[in-house]
Amino acid sequence: MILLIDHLSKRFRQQEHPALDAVSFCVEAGDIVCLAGESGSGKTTLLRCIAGLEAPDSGRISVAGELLTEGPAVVPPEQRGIGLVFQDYALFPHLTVLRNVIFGLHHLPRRERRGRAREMLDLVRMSDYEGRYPHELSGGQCQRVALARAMAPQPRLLLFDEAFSSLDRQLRRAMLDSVRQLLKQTGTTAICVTHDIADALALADRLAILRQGKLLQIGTPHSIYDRPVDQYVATFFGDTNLVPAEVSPSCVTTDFGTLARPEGVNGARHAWLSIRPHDLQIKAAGEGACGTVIDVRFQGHCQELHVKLRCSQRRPYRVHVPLDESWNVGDCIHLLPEADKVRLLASQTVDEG
Amino acid sequence: MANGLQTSWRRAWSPWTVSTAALTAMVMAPFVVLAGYLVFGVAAEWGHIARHLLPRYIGNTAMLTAGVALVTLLIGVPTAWLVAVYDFPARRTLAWALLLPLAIPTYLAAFTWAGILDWAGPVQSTLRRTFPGHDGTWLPFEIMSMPGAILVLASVLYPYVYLVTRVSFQRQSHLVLEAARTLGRPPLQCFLRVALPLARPAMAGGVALALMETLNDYGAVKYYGIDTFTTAIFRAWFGLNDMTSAIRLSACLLGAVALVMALEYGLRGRARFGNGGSDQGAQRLRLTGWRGWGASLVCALPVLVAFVVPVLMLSAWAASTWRQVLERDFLLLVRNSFLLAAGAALVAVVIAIVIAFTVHLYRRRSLRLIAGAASVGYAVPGAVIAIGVLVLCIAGDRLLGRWSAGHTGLLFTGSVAALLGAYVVRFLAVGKQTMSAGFEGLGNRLQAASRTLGAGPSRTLFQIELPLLRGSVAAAALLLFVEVLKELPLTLILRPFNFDTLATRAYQYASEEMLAQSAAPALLILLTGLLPIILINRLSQRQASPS
Repeated sequence: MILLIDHLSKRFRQQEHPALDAVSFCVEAGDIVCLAGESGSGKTTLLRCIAGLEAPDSGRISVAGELLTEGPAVVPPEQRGIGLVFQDYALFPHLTVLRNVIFGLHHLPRRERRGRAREMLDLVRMSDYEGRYPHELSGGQCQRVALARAMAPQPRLLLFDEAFSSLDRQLRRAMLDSVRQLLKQTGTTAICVTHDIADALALADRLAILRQGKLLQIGTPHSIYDRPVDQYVATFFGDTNLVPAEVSPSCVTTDFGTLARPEGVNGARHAWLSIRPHDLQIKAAGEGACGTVIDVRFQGHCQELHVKLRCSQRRPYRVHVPLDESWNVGDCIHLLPEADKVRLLASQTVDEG
Repeated sequence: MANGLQTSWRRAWSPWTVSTAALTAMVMAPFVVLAGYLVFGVAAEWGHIARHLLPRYIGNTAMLTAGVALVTLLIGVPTAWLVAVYDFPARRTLAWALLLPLAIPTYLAAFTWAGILDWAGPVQSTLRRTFPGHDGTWLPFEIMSMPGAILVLASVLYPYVYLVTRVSFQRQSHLVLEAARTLGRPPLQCFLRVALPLARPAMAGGVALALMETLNDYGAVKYYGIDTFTTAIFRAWFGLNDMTSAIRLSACLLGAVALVMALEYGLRGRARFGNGGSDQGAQRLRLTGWRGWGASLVCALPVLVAFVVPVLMLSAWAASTWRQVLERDFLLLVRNSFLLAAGAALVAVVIAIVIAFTVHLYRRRSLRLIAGAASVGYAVPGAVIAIGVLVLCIAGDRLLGRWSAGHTGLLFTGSVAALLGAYVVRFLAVGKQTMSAGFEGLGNRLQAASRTLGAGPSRTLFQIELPLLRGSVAAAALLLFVEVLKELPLTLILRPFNFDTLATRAYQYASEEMLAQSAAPALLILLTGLLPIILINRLSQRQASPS
């Protein structure tokens, strides 16, 4: 275990919600963890606390067994051995690319610094630009230099603060792939902050979802997708149908009839289920709930049907079906969720808003 | 707990915060001492001063400040309006030239105008030559009087009002002009109904700056024989030898400064509505024909009267006396002055960097307040600071004398170090303001990047932030250099025996009725004073056209 975060809390003056609310999790060596959440979820504050740029009100952070933060007492960032890649790169404008990378190699003997810096620039394919100044580089090039600079001192932990959000979509995808490859190749442990779920999926081994300072769920993307804990996680991460249900100890009553009580923790009588669009199966007449197709949308890898159930006044359900099936508006359709893919969601743990 | 873990208590006592606190304490020391004497001191002559002189000091100071406020507004506001809203021949040049009188210190303006309007001066001699039979006084009024002092001070202080108000007019100009067009009102009505009330905070700010300079002035009022608080402080100290009375008078003067600041704060109102609108402003209204030339004339007049005429006069005097003045002694004087100003600028810039960097590093409100206290000297007239430093020096010398029985000399009193220290106390705010703005412009992302790359605060400052702030450092040093070079009252009180600067020499020549001889040092001060105005102009042009 390389990073341990224990009940980290912080509240900024004059803010309604705490920026961090008793956040705890740990990261194994070599893992890439993405902190995902909308702006104001506390993900950047968490990252800045880990880097030592911000002090929490309470809670601890330790890296490789060394206690770095305990409440407001912090080891200063320069003594932590934690690298940070910034959203706007924060390259030093008065230093060349090579000097930017060398800046972090102060601990090495003078003659080794240049060689090590060149090695890093090689790794990000920027050696041809070592004499340039940051303002002479494109966004993607700046990004690569920033990465080389942050990785050069071989940090115990590398942090990314929305580091890819300023690149355009095409470049971002390629960049994410090469960054993941580089991190895996060097065995670097990394934590990155993003508000874009696609970025998170392209990079992460594990995903942590934050909202209003609370860590809602952490796990592999697959496990979160399949077993979201609550409504927010279910909708934040991929498309889903939210289905109201009456809950009893052994079963739930829904628009689709009475189903076996699905997995998930909720003690309330009225709760929500999450059913992903591709987990709604089309059945023969007589099985499941009967509805009418009111719209058909092409999605690339599948087609999406919008189905209005006869027995329900709720908004249409979305169903993903293979492209080779032929569906038209007005068709009658029978739907039943796949039993083990339905998820009982916890009531919102945070305020709406 | 791990070794490197800093508790918040230890973090509060880093070398940076400690030096900032110590430096602030040093800068505040003269004021603390003054306050001490104010409460506990015994003033031998105070009864006499309070009964017979104080009413006159108060009346004169009030009349002088009120007059200067009125005249600076009358010159500064219309010119600012014309330059901000209209386009007319030579507008760009005039917009800048209207700032030039700022380069003339008040005391130099006073001497020069006295010389110009003198019986032997160019105006009266010309009149005598043209109308030979007439030998009476030709001038409608005597310049060496209260109205004369008001006009002379206002002639070099109106740029404060002009500069601040112009910015405000520029920001709201599109609003005003569009209102003018859509409502069909003539621009003059818009000026009176909309622009003027909107610019009230700016005008108050500009007048406040001009009045602080007025209250700081010693040379002009002394030369014109007007008893104000500054002259009173000098008399109490040097004439009556009554330190506590001088300190009490200083307190009165500070009260006047506080009153000006309070009035400014009140006039600024609750909302600081100067900030609305864009800096760019709208398309200016073009004035053609006689209107255009009229506008040019209105804007050119203050420049001509307040800057060109005095400079021509000084040049003429300098041309006739330079052989006399320009001896080895004069070069020594120049060297003294420049070294002193450079030294003070250097010390103040270093202190300003330390304080501004600490605030930037910790971003704490408490630190910001402490650092703010270090700027207080800029609002305090030079004479008051001089008295504070002098009292401190005397106390230091007494202590030293008590400790070492044989020592009776004066180590601090009348030393160059005391003078330097007083300059720093007086002008530190100039450097701090510039450096704080610089650090603020950098933001804290580079600091964060540097720290996560293993560089501590000092390495970050020296290798990343200072190299990027070279411009701010140079600007701060230049502004400080010029302020110190121009300074008169503080220098007169604290200078070592037989030590002269350009300012004190010019003052001395003038008070010995050798006006022509004072021209050479005066011109040198004036030319140096032009440097920051050129700098300000270049900076504002760069802001106006972001390229």
